Amino acid sequence: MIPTPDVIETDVAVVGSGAAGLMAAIHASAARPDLDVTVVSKGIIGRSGCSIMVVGLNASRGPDDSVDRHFRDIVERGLYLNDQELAWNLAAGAPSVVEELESYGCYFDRDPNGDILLTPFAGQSTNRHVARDSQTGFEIMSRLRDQIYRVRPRLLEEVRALDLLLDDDGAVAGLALLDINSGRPLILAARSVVVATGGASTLYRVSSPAREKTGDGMAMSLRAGAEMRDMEMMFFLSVGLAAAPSLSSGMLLAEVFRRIGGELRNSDGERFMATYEPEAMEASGTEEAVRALYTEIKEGRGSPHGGVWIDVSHLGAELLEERFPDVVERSRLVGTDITTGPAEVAPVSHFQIGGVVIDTNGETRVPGLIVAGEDAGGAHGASWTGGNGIVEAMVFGARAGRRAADVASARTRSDPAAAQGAETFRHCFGFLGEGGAETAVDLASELKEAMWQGAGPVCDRAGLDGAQEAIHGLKARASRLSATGPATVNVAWQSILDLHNQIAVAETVVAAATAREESRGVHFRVDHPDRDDAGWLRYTVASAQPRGLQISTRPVQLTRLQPGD
Amino acid sequence: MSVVIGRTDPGSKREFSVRYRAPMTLLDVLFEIQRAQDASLAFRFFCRAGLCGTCTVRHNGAPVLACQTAVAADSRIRIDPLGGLPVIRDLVVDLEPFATAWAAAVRRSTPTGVRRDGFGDDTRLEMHRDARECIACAACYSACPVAGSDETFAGPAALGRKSLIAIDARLADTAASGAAGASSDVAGCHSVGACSIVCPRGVDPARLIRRLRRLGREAAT
Repeated sequence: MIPTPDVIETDVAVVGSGAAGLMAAIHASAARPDLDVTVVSKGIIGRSGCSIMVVGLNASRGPDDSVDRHFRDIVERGLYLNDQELAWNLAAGAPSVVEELESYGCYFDRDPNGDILLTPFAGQSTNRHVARDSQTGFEIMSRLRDQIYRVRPRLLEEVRALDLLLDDDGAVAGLALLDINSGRPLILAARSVVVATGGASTLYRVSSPAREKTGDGMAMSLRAGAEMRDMEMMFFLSVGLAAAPSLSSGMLLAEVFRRIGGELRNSDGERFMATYEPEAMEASGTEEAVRALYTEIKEGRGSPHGGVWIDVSHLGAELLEERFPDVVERSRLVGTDITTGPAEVAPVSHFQIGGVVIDTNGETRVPGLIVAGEDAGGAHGASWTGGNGIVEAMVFGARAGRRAADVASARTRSDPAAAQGAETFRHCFGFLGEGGAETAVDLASELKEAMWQGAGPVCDRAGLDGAQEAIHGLKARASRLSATGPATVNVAWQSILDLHNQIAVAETVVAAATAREESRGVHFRVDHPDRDDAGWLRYTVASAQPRGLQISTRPVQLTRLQPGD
Repeated sequence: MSVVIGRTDPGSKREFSVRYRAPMTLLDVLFEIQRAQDASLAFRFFCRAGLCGTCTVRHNGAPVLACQTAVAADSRIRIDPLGGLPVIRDLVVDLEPFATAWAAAVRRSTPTGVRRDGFGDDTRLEMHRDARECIACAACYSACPVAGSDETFAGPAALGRKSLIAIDARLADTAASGAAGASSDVAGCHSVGACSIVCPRGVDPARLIRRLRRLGREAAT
């Protein structure tokens, strides 16, 4: 029995309450104070998602830096697969984001002159990393959250968006929602919708993001007709704590450990980087290290928890505790104190580079649907630099909010086609029942294992085919899942709904990786190991069609910078 | 390990036996019970990194972040929802009263256009450094004997936040910050200090409230 949904009317609906979502809400309200703005968040406003875990952000503020230089770093790192207009806007918007955050009370680390301290980070060509200790994301989010309490949009907290609802013309008319705490369905009628829920980089067996980041925004955008670009591009770091099945698994050690003398060893005690990167050894690039670790683990030379060993203890407890207090604490929590001995680490999926195709205002091909942050694709190209993701979220969150306000002002509210909402609720409430032999948590583990085995940092056609087959099997089993218990705060039920979105996104990742028959950035095909600029300066596009998921490719528009410039 | 959970639904299973697996946190214990023993168990968590502050529960009576609390093999564990807040189901509390107090504390944090912090002196800068570490986990609210029972009292976290705003020229007229210190809700603090003992981030709300009071006295003279 499905309760009759309550209907709420708003002008701008924002789904997600990380940095992108909150910036969208703040800027939509600032642009058009007369509009009614509603934030829908699966978690607690401003506290779920990954924005709070960010270590710093990049902005061209230094005397030798410029928007152009930041832009070039992004495109060169992205190996020219970027949408250069998105990359440009990211770089151009970064300095003013820092100013805006300080006006909200953020207090970033200072240099001796009292200016904001700029440090080197992640191989960028100059110092442009802005941070507050290692708690930058938390600093940002706590201040954005305070601003939300000042601006006071309607907050639908612990309410999950199930689907976008379209009107008869195919334009966005609102959202079908589920209040997690009451278990009741809701319809939110809206003139424009900003989707900013974060990506699905939880799709692998060791992953760093917050657990509720299950690609909900991507999946619902795909179902509503949006296109997804470069879904094969999934960024891994090399030093996630391997501590499965503990939820602490995937917590990050410091990537810099490989560059300050940290030694990586496999189960034979071998410094295996000598095989892959004899010159650079552990100090190789992130992608190279990730591929080496992946290969060692997959070929059976891994540690008990499915990682390899990293040892930094020879650097001394004093230095480690002084420079990396959070990391030391994390390692102690999982029982392998890095100040006294080696810890198990594995490649850890960290940031989803691909996402919904947007223009520089976040607009998609679905009228009224605006997407910002990790849900969107294109800005980063074929790889990613730490500190650019949070900037993307804030720059494009703000732009999306302003655009959503304009769109909402220009549109009348249309009736969502009632049938769609009914179908979404039928699907959702269909999983609430008697329980069953299988659980969503176990199926999600199988999905993550299949993604790791077949669609990991090193893959080939046969492996990808295997992953696709596994996903199809899981899809069928997921459709038969059932959660017992009341509708209120039903963790098992929510996990089922999460899993369906994870499967939808996983399908696009595997299909796009199968299509890209070359190797570029984070995408490495053993059967197509070379970068092919002649054939593959093209981005993949996934879209949901009546006959299933379709993949096509389009040439990258090199609007500002050509390879070799 | 033997685990007892304070739950809400009549008839729900409360006592569990969980096999210890290293490493294991209190959050892992809850996840394992929900996954393998009782799918109906309700609890809340997001980041599992000690930053979102949403997995706070009482562990043998003391409010802790479940994700940052390692458990030992063979331990006897009692887990209850936070105190001072209405329980929605099992370990999930309604954060509304806590959030409302917080929202009131920050409602006037409109950027002033002043670009420099202007903390003015070391005491204010130190207050800022302490207060900004709060992750709004509500551990202090749960431990405080006044918050939750006296609804006119905003609670330690909200008052800490108020002090953070009051001393920052970018967000408030700091000359008027004494008003925050003179307000009645600061007077509601009974100086018990439980907040400062339980804070998982090492914030000292009791001291922040004392300093806020002092600012109020200074402004009054």
